[in-house]
Amino acid sequence: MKFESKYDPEDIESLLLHKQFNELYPEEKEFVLRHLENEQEYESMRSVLMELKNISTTDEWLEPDASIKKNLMREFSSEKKSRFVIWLNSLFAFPDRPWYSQRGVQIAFGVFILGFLLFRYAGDNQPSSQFAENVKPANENRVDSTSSESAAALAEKPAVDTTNKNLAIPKAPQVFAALAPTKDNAEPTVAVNSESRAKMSEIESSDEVVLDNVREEVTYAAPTSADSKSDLSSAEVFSNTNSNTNPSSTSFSSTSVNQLKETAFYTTQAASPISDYSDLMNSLFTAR
Amino acid sequence: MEKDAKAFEALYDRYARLLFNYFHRMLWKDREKAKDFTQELFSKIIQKSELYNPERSFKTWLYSIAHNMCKNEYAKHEVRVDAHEQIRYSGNASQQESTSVSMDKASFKEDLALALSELDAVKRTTFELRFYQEMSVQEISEAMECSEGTVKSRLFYTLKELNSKLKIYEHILKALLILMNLLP
Repeated sequence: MKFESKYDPEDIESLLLHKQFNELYPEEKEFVLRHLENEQEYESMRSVLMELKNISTTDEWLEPDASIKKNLMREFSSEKKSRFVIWLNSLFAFPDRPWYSQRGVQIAFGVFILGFLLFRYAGDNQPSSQFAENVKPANENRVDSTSSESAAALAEKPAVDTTNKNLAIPKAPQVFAALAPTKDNAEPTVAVNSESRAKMSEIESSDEVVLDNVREEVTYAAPTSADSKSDLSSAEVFSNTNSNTNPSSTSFSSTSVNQLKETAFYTTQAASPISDYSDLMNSLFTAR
Repeated sequence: MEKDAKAFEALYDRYARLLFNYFHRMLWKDREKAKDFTQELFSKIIQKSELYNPERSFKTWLYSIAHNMCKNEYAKHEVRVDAHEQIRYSGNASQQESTSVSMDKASFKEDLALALSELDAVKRTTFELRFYQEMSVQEISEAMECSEGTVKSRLFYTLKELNSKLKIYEHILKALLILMNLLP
């Protein structure tokens, strides 16, 4: 049996700690003397080792400062928290890559594109409630107007550009429509004229301004006093055109010249082919 | 997070004192250095905790880091006993030899510390781990990343070297051993 396989330097330590030289077995002595010079060295080493063991056990142990622990615990907590901060830093701050390849920039760009597309297509496919509200009252107004006005009045409603303030005569077409002779309301000329005058007085009371405009237009359109004869003749023509009229009831003596002019104008309008308001306007301008 | 903090605190309480004293002895009894090194070591554990291999002993991992830190420190400063210290040591020894009767345990400790400081880093660490930290040869081999045979050999030659340096204390040590009933 070889000593090398059984004893090694650590075994010498064990021997030094537990046995004096004279307590060693012959093979142990042979092993020890292969590493040490003599018995004296063995004993010297033994005393040193024993003293070292003694010192190590009795030596004072220093206590680390409390500040070390405090600093470390603070560092530990900050290290754990800083992982998120590091992630944020990787987004924008302290970039080690080009700005466009930063994660945050790419995410922000993607969100912007998505938001833009959503806004764009949502706006195109679905009408907004604001548009719906704007359209609805217009339709309602049109329905109301059709229900309130007669079909005849709608038929006579002119398509005139009223942007010209001087030509704005909103209620004139209604007057024409009311005076237009139909099968049902065919009456003698005098009756029609009295009715028209009644309507005129009603209109005068309700809308003086409009009436003034009408009168002004009528003044331009009506024949002058020099042509009063022809006016009368036209009135007569009108009375003759109505077969149901009674000539005896016709009386011009009680009407003023202006009234006659108005009457002639309206009756002419009723009988003449000028049924459209635009034609009327054209004729008025022509007369001017 | 809270559990991690408690676990870290438990580790610190278990090993901080050992490591602080280890650094204190390894770094020329410099308390401030020991303090800095202890804090630095635990900081490394916090920052590089993922490097720990659970199959290994945590204690040996700690001491392997500590050992490497000391080696780096030695390499930085190239600690050598200058001529003045050598003279002081020799003078002190000769003085002690002449007045061996007055030598006491305290002076032995001082000279032992001086002798240890003259050892190279590897031997010194091995000695420190074996006799002060009371680690087994296997643990030392893991901490220093070498074979157990190498550790045993280092220990033996370290002890032999110390013995030669502290030979002057041979008689007093024998007397002490006799007093302690360790010698016949």
